[in-house]
Amino acid sequence: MNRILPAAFLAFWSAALAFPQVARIVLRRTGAVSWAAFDSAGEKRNSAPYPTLRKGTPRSVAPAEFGRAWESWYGDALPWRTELLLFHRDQSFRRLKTPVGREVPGHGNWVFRRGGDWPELDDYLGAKELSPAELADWIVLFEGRREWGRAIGAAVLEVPAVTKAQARWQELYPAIRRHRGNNVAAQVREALADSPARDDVLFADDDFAAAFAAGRETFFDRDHHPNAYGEWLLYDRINRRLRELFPDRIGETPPWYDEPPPAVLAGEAPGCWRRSIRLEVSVPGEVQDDDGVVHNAARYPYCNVATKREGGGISVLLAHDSFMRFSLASWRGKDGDVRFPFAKGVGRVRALIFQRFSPGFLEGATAHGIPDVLVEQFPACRLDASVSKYLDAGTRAAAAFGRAEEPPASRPPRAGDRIAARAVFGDVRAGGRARPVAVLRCGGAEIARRDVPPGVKRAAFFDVAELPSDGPLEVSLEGGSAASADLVWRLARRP
Amino acid sequence: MAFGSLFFLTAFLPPVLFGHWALQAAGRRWRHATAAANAWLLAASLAACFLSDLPGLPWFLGCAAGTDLFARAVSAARRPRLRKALLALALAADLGLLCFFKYGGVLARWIDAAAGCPLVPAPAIAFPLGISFWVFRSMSCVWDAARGVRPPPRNPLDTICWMALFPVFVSGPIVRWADVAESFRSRPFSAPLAASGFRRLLVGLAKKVLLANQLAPFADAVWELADAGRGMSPGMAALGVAAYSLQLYFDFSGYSDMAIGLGRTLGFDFKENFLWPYGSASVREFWRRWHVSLSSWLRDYLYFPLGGSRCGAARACLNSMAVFAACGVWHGTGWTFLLWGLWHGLLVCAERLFGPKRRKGAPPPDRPAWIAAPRFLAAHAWTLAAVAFGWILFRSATPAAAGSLLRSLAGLEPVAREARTLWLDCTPVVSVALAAGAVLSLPVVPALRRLARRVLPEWFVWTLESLAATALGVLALLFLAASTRRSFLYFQF
Repeated sequence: MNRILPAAFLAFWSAALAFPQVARIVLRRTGAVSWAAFDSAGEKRNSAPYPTLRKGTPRSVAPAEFGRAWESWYGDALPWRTELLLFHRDQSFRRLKTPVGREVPGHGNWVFRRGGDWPELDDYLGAKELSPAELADWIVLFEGRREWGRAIGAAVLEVPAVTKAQARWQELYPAIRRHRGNNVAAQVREALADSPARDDVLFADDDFAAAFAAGRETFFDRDHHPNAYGEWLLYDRINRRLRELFPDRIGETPPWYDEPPPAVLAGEAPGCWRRSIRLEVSVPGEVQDDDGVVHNAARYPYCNVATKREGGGISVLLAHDSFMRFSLASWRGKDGDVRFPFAKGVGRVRALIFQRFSPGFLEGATAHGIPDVLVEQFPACRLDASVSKYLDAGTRAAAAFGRAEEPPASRPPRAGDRIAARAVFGDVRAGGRARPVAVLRCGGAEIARRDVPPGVKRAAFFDVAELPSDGPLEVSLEGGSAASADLVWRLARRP
Repeated sequence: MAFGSLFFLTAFLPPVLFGHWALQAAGRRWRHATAAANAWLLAASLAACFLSDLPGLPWFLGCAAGTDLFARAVSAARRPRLRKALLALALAADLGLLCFFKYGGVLARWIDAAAGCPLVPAPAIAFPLGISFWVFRSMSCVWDAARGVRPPPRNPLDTICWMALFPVFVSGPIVRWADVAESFRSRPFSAPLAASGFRRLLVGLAKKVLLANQLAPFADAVWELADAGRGMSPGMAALGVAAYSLQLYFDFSGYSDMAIGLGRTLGFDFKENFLWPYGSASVREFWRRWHVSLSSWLRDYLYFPLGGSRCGAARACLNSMAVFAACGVWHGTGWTFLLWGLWHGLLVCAERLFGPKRRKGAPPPDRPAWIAAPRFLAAHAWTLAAVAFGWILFRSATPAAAGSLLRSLAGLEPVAREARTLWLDCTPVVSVALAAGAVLSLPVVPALRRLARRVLPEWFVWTLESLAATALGVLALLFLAASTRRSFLYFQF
């Protein structure tokens, strides 16, 4: 065998391996620094920069880091990278029905993550069959929140947003589809049918299904987030419920425009439209606000938004998960100001990203003022997670109070009655201890107690207790003071 | 710096190879070309050490300098007693270094646990990269010098260059000085040799990236559950064990292929490290084919000095157990490694005592195929099962985790909730890799190559093989580049 073939083989591989580096040097000399190897929009990140070896001592140079940085740059600078990756993904997804790494595919290259500390595929598909106890916990949480909100004068709305895997399961590849089981959102919805909280838990499945049937795209092509139109559906669903809660005060949802008219674009008429990947909302009279809650209580202050309207109106505090993030976040302000006003009649909106209503958060958020509406949005797949983080004894007691029966008018409490009691205090201030304690007494004997954090208005729901005597019920605050105290009791249902 | 990294393949390797080839090509007209090529190789190897393990570099250089000094001193010593004393000192220094870094932390923990309070501070220095390999290389050099098998390198820089050789620095094979001494004197460049080395490099890369890396997530998922004491179905457990067995083989043999190929492109001729071990029909044969450089090192420098098999069956078994216990401990500090070594020691002893006996050099018994083939298949199946059992011990974090996986294999462990989605990790790619791995772990390719060479012209076979290696290499690079993809913006939060 002659030397030509081996030499050609060596030459080919030498050129192939050295090409990106050589091309970089040549392109730099010619002024064209890089070529379009990297699909920044598709991967939603910037291309890795060319690494530089820092000058300094051998230890400070950190040569291993340089190697890793080179890997990142080379991976991004590989010629025809996008084409090669799409080919690779295409072969993996379409022919082998296999996700790349931990990304689970659907048609059109949309992906979502599984494994690690991120929700498992079970979560996205809502495949878990909830036990009666788990279902009961969710119902108790929703009912308890509702009752707690009513006590202090706020409406609490829960918005479990449907996931793409649940809404569009037909588009999953068969290997993944086979895994589909019971939908947790459907289970919770069914269990809520007889609950007084059912109208305050807003499932948007029907809206998404109707939009899909009408040929509208509601999710991003390449991932599982609702797109601008899908987010508008959620926004509209929330606004419709606000209109039911505050009739004649809240205006229509600003309509959706595929092609917004100039008046809407100029902010002179209400309307919603898509700009880039974001949902834009225009409501005349709305201005940006600077709000302490947004800056102090949120995990990502630069991603949150506060707006207010001249002339006032009801106030809304919205905590939302990543499913509304593309309209409600501006990563380090790069996407400009975030604007998310609600319809006419809503005076103030505060929206917090990646926030959920834990009892501690709710206490902090309502310490200085009570919003008219508290909205919590989260992906429906979270319904298969434990609620223990959000469901405390006070919420359970509030739910029990909501289910209890009101006694006949002027009927006094009697010995042996099982009662659920609620006390609402105005302007609670701490005295001898950081957190005052509300004490419920019957004929002078203590029958229940509950912590009450300081705040403008606080509700204390006591655990169901059996009365030891016919004595009168009274409530007092230990370790602090309150401007007013209002006690209400009901007859608890037999367990 | 791993061979399977893009940095190594695209930034480090091309200039090193071009420079080395240029110096080798100059050898016809320049008599110092080999020395210059050695110096170039030394610089490249030290640069690789610098880039991959800066804190471990002084330890390595100290060990290499000590090796050179001791090897010269041992070689020059005329009195046997002095020679033995120097050898013992060198071995003690090498083993002390290895034990300090590899077992120091564990020993400190044991002493603290026994005392009930912190007594011995654990070594705060990071584990130097490749220490298990370069310490064994150092020991073999001094030992060979003491026995007069091979004189030590004449030039101290050659000692450092041989010990730091970047193709074998991190994960072997354990290349002895005796194997490469001639290459340090003369290494002519030839395009066919370099091309064949590069082809081997690509095949090794493909083994690592296309087979081992594809099987790894599934094997990891199975062991993640096993290590947490979670049960799974017997089928999934069996598939997981099979995946890990193949992953380990293709990972390590791929690495060895790359090292051997790189050596060949540079003009060295490293010995084979894997000789189709999963085609073995006994555990003893398996150890003649698996990680040959380690098993032959243990044989030459531990088994034979202990007396080997010349002191009766009982002593031979004891020696085997000692060698395999050392082999287990060399691989890691956990109890499971020791158990793995003892398991193989037990199997080798059992085969020695109860297996078929044949006088050395005697021809194999002439049996008809209908008897020989089933016997071979049964022996092969038994060997694979025994080796796979060993891998369960080898891979598990604790003996309890190994027990959990074994119970799952036997169907005695209830299937945990987390295990119900395990099939999602057994993707079609994993299935393809499992099937391809099962076939390619047997000597199918050499058989096909022999057949092709019989019926096709040499240049045609060479071209076919090169095209196949190129396709595999491109695919492996694509997989490597794809693994740098990060999709989701919110992971920046």
